[in-house]
Amino acid sequence: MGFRFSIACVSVAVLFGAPPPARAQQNPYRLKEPNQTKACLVCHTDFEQKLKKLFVHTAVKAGDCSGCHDPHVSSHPKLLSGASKEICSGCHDGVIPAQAKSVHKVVADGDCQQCHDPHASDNAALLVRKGDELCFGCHKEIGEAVTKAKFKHDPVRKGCVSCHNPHASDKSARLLKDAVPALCLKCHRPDSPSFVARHQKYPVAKASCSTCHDPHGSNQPALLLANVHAPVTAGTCNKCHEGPDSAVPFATKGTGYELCKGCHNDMVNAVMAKQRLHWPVADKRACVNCHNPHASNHDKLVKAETRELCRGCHPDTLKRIAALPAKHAPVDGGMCIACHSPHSSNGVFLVDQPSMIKLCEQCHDYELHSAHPVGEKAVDPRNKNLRVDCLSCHKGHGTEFKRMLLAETNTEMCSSCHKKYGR
Amino acid sequence: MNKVSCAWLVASALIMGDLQPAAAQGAKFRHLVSMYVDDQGASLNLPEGVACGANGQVVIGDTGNDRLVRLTFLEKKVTGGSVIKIPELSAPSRVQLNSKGEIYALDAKERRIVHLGPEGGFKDVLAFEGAPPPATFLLKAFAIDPADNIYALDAASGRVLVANPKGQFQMALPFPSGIGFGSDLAVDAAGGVLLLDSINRRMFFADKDATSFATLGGDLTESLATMPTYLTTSKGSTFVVEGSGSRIVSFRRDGSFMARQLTPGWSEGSLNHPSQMCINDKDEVFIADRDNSRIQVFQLIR
Repeated sequence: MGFRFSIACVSVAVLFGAPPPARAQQNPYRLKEPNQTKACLVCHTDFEQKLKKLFVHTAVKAGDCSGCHDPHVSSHPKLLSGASKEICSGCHDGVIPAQAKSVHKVVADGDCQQCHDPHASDNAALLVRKGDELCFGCHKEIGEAVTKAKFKHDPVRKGCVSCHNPHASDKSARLLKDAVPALCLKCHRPDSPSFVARHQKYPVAKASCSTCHDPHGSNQPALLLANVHAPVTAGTCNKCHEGPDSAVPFATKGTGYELCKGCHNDMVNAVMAKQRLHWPVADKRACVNCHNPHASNHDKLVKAETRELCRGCHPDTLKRIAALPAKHAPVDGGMCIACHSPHSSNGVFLVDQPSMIKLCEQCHDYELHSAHPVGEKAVDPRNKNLRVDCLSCHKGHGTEFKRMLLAETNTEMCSSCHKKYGR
Repeated sequence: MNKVSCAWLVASALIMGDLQPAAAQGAKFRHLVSMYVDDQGASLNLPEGVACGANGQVVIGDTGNDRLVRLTFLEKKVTGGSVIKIPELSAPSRVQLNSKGEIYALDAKERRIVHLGPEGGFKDVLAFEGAPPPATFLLKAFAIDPADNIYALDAASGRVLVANPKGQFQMALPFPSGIGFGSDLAVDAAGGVLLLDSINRRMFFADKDATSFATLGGDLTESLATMPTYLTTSKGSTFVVEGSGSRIVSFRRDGSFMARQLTPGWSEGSLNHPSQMCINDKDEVFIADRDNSRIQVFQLIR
C-alpha cells in the first residue's frame, strides 16, 4: 500500500464518524461524531448562521451532511449523493399515497426544494416562505384573485392547507383533502335552516358546491362565481329542474338545447336557422358542453377561456397552431371566436360572413395592402371553380412563413398560380 | 410539383407529426377524373355530398348551390349533369342511393332526410314514424344498407334511428357511453353499423340486429392526425375522411390501421377539406372535395 493511499485511508477514517443507522451501511467512510459537521463547517462557514434558524432539518442537526451529500465526488449538483427525489424519499417515504387521485406537480417531479429548504428555515416544515406566500409564488392568479376578492372564504385566510394537501391527495382532484361536497360539509351544515332556505330546499348536500361558489373568494355575496345564471340569482331553480320535493330533484325539465330554448328561444331559433351547426350545440348535452348552467367566472357562463374551451375538442388544431412561427394575432391571443361563430353559421369553418374576404375585412383593409385582384370576378388559375380570396395566399391560423403566406418567397407564392413565371 | 404544393406537403408532414408512417401496403388511390360543372356548365359550389350506385349512377350534393347534380360515370367517363333543385331540399350535405336508384339527401339546414325518386322528383321527408321520444330529431348523417333500410345519426338524442325502406321506424341504437361526438356512420354489406367518434378518435361497431355498439380498433389517435369527419365502408375496409387534414385513412375489418392516402392541395388528386366519400362496386371512389368545389374520382387499388 503506497504512502498516499494510506494517508487517504486515514483521512477518510477521520472524516466520517458514527453515522445514523439508515446511512451507516451505505457509507463505510463516515467521520466519527462530532467531527463530521465540524469538518464541513471549516469551509462552509455560512452554515453557522443557517443552523441558528428556528427549524433545522434533522439530518443537518445531527451533523449528517454525508447523509445527503457525497463529500468527494458526485454526478449530481451540489455533490448530492443521488437525485433529490431519491434522497428525500429515502427518509420521507409515503408522501405520495399509493392510490393518489392528485399529486402536486413539484412533488411528482421530485422538486422538493421548490418549497422546502433542505437545511434550515425560520418557517415550520422547513418551508422556504410562509404558507400562502409560498403557494401564491407559483399560483399567482389565485393569489391575486384572493387578494382582490371582496368576500374571502374563511379557510383561505387560514391558509391553503385548510383544504388542500400540499403533496398529494388520495381523496380528490386538485389536492383537496376530501372530495367536494364532503370537504365543504365539514364546516357547512346543510340541515341548518338558513342553508336550506338559501338553496331553495334542494338537497345540494349531494351536489358539487364549486359549480356555483368560488371556494377562494368572490366579489359576489355567498362566494358565488362572478357571473351567475339569472334563474340561480332569482332562486328559481325549478325553472330548469324538477321541484325540490321530487324523487329526482336535480333532473332537468327538458333535454339538450330544448331546455335552454324555454328562455333563450330567439337565440336558439337563430342558431338553428343557419346552415352549419357547431354540432356540440345540438347533441345530448348541448349548451352545457361549453356553458356552465349555474355560474362561471367567465363571460357568458362559458366553462373556460375560449382557447381552453376549444382545446377540449380541437387539441390537434391548437397544438399545430402553437408550433407555427407566424400566427394570426387573434389565434395567438386565443380568440377563436374572432373569426368562428361558436354556435352556427351559413359559411364554412363556422365563419358567419358571406365570404372570407368579408370576414378578413372586419380587421384588414385588403385594398390597401395589395392590388392583387380578389373577389367574385377573380378566377383562381389553379381551379376554375375557385375565386381568389385571402385564403388563396394566406392561411387563417398561420403558417411557417412570414405574413402567414403559404410559401417562403413571393416568387414561390406567385408562381403557384402564375406558372409561366415559375423557375 | 411546385414549391407551394411542396410547402403544403411540409405542413402536412407537420400535421402528421409523430404519427406512424403511412403503410407501404393497403389501399391506394389513383386519380381518374374531376367533376367541376353541371350539364349547363354551371360550377359546383362547396359540394359536401356524393353518392354512387349501380350502372354508374352518381348524385352530387352541391351544397353551396342548394341543389343536386345527377350524372353517370361509366367507362371512366362522365356524362349527364342534370340539375335537381326542389323547394323541399336546401343545402344537401350528404346523399345516398338505394338499390332502386332512389335518392336520399340530408338537408343541412333543416337537418332532415329528403326522399326523391331516381329522376329527382320529391317523394317525402323521412319522419321515423313510431320512434320513441324525444320527438325532435337533428340528423347529422345517414346511410342505407343493401336491403334499403335507412340508418340516421340523430345527434340530439345520441342514437342511431333505423327505418325500413318505407321510412317507418324499426329500432334505435343508443350511442355507446363515453362517446365524444358521433359524427358519421356507415353500414356494411352485412348490415353491421359503424359509428365514428370524431372527438375521442374511435370507431364503434354494431352487428346487424345488435342492440348496442362495441369499440372497434380501440384508440385511433395514433392513426388519425386531425379530426375525422366522415366514414364509409367497402368490402371489409373502412375509410375515414380527415376533413381539416385533407386525407383518407383506411382501416381493416378489425379496426387496425391500414394506410393513409392523398394529400392536401389544389391540384387534381389533392384534397381541400373533403367531405362525403363513396365507393362503388368497381372500386371507383368519389370524394366531395368541398373547398376545391369539385368531385374527384379515383380508382381504388386494393
